[in-house]
Amino acid sequence: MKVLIIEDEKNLSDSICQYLADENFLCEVADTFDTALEKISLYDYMCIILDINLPGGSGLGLLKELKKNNKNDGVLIISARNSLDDKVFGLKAGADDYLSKPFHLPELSARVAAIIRRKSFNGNNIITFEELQLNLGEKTAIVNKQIIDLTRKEYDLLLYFISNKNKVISKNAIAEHICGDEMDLSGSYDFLYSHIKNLRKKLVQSGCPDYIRSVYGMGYKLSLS
Amino acid sequence: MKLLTRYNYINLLSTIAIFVLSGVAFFFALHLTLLKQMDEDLRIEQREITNYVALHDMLFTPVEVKDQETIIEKTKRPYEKEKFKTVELDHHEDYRQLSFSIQAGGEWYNVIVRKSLEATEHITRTVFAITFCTILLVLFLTVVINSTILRKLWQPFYTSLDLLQRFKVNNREPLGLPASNIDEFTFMNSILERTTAKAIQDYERLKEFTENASHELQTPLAIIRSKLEMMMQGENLTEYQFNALQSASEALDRLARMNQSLLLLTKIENEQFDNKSFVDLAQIIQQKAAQFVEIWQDKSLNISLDVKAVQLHANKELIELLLNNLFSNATRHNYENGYILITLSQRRLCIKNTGHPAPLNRKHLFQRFYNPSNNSTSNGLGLAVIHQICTANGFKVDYDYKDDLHIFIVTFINESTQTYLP
Repeated sequence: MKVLIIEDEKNLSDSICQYLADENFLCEVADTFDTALEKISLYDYMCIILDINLPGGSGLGLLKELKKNNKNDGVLIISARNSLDDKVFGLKAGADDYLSKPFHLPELSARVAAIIRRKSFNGNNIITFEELQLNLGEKTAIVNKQIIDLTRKEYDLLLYFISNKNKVISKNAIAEHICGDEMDLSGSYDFLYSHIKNLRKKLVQSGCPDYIRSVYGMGYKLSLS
Repeated sequence: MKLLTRYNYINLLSTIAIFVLSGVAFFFALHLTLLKQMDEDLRIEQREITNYVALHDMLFTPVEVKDQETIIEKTKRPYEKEKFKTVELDHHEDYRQLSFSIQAGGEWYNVIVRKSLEATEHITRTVFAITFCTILLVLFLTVVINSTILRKLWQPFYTSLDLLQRFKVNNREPLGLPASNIDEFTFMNSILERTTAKAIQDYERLKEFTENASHELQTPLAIIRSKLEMMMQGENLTEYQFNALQSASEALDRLARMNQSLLLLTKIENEQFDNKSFVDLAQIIQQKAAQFVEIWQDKSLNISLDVKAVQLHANKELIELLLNNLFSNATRHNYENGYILITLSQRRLCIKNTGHPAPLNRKHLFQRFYNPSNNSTSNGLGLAVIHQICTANGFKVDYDYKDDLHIFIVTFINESTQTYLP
C-alpha cells in the first residue's frame, strides 16, 4: 500500500514514514510542490498526506490538480493553518480528511488507514487482529463468532488500538481521539482508565486474551504479548 | 457638568452681576438727576418770590397749584440758610421742599416751597421696570442664543467625541472624522486620527505577530510530538527514560493547547467566526453535559442542570467553545464530591462551582495568562477565551463569589452603548 507524504519538513515526514512503515505502508516523500506534482501525475497512491504550505505552491493547488486528472487517491490534509477556511475548502476540493498540526501519529495512522479502507473496500469490510474481528460497516466487534456488547466509545477505542497495533499510544492521544481536540481536558485523563478497564474486561469475558496493556502509566498498547 | 451648562452658568452669573450693578447705579443716577431737576424748579419758584419782594417789598398770598405748596410765615427767627429737604407729609406722599427766609417790609418771613415727588418717583419706577424687563429679556436671549449658537459651534467637537466613543481598535476602521473649518477642531481631529491610526497599526502588528508566531509554532510542535511518539515505541526503555518521555509529552501537550488557545483568540479577533445563525443553546448545553458526564462521574461531582429553551443568534462553533471552556473551568478547579450548578434562563447562563475557597481577582481574571493558582494543568487562557467569545457575540461575562461558590454569569442581552450628545 503506497502512501505519499507531501511535507517540506523532513523531520516530520521522517517520523510519519517510520511510524506508517510499521503498519505495512510503503511511504514516499515529496518536499516541494514540483516534486509532489511530478509524483502524483506519474503514480497512483492509496493515500496522500498533504501539507498546505509548501515551497513552490499551495497544497490545495495539488489537490485541484489531482481532481482535474480524475485521480482517485485518498487525500489527508495536514495543516499548520488551523483555520476553518482551509478545512472547508480542502474538504470541498475533494480531500477525504483534515488534521491540523500538531497531530498525534496514532491519530494520523488511524485516519490514513480509514481513508484507505474507504477507498478500497467502500467502507464495508472487516479488520482482524488475531481472533478479534471488527465489522466496520456495522460497527461491531466479534470474537469467536460472538458479538461483544461494546459501547460506542469502547468500539472506537478498540478500532483505534487495532489501527495502531503494537504501538504505544499516549493517554493524550487517546483522549483527543475519543473526545475531540477542542475539549480542554488538561491532564485529567482518569476517565480513560474506566473506559479501557471496561473494554479489557469485556474482551477477556468473551474469551479473548488481554491484548491491551498499560505502559508505565504513560499510555496503552495493544499487542500479542 | 457639561461644557455648555458650565459656560451658561458662568455667563449667566456674570451677566446678572453686571446688570444688577449697572441697574443700581442707573437707578441712583436717574433719581439724583430728577431730584436736581426738581431743585432747579424750586429755585425758580424762589427766584419768583425774591423778585416779587424786591419789586413790591411785600409778600403775596400764594396761589394753590396742584402738587405744589407755598407756605409763608412771619417769623422772629429766620432760617440761617436756605435748605433743600425731602419730607413725607401726612398723606404718605414725598415732597421736595426748599426752605428759605426773606425780608419784606422790615419783617422776616420763613418761606417753604414744596413740590410733590410723585411724578418723579413714577418716572423712576417706570424706567426701572423697563430696565428690569430688558435685562430679563437680554438674559433669556443670551441663554437661548448661547445654547443654539454654541451648540452649533461645538458640534464638530461632539461629533468627534461620539465617533471616538464608538472607536474600537480591533475594528480596523479609521475614525473618519468630518472636516471642520475651525482650526482648533481640525487640529484636534488630525491628532485623534493620527493617534487612533497608530493604535490600530500597533494592534494589527501585535495580532499579526501572535498569529504568525502561533502558526509557525505548529510545525515544530508537530515534529517534537512525532519524535516523542516514535521514541515511546522503543522496546528497551529504562524507567527513567519513560518518565522523561512522559514529562516531555505532557509539557508538549500543554504547549500545544496553549498555542491552540492563542490561535483561537486571534481568530476571534480577526472575526473569522462571523457566520451567525440561530443556536439552540439549551440543546448544546445538554450535548456538552453528555460529553462531560464521564469526567464528572470520575471526579464524583454533583451536577445540577436547570435549562430553559433559549435561542441565540450567534456563531455555533464559538458557543460550543464557550461552553467547553466554562465546563472545563468548573470541572478542573473543582474538588472530589464538589458541585457544579448550571442554570440557563432567557437572559443569562449561570455556572456555579465549588473550588478553591477564596474569590478570584475580578480585575485580572479575564486577562491572558492570569493563573492565580499556578496550576500547571491550566494555561491561563481559558477565561480569556471565554471573555473574547462573549465580546465577539455581544455578551457580557461576570464573575462572582458567593456562599463558597465561584459563579460565572454570561448575560446575553447586549446593553446599548452610551453616546455623548450635546
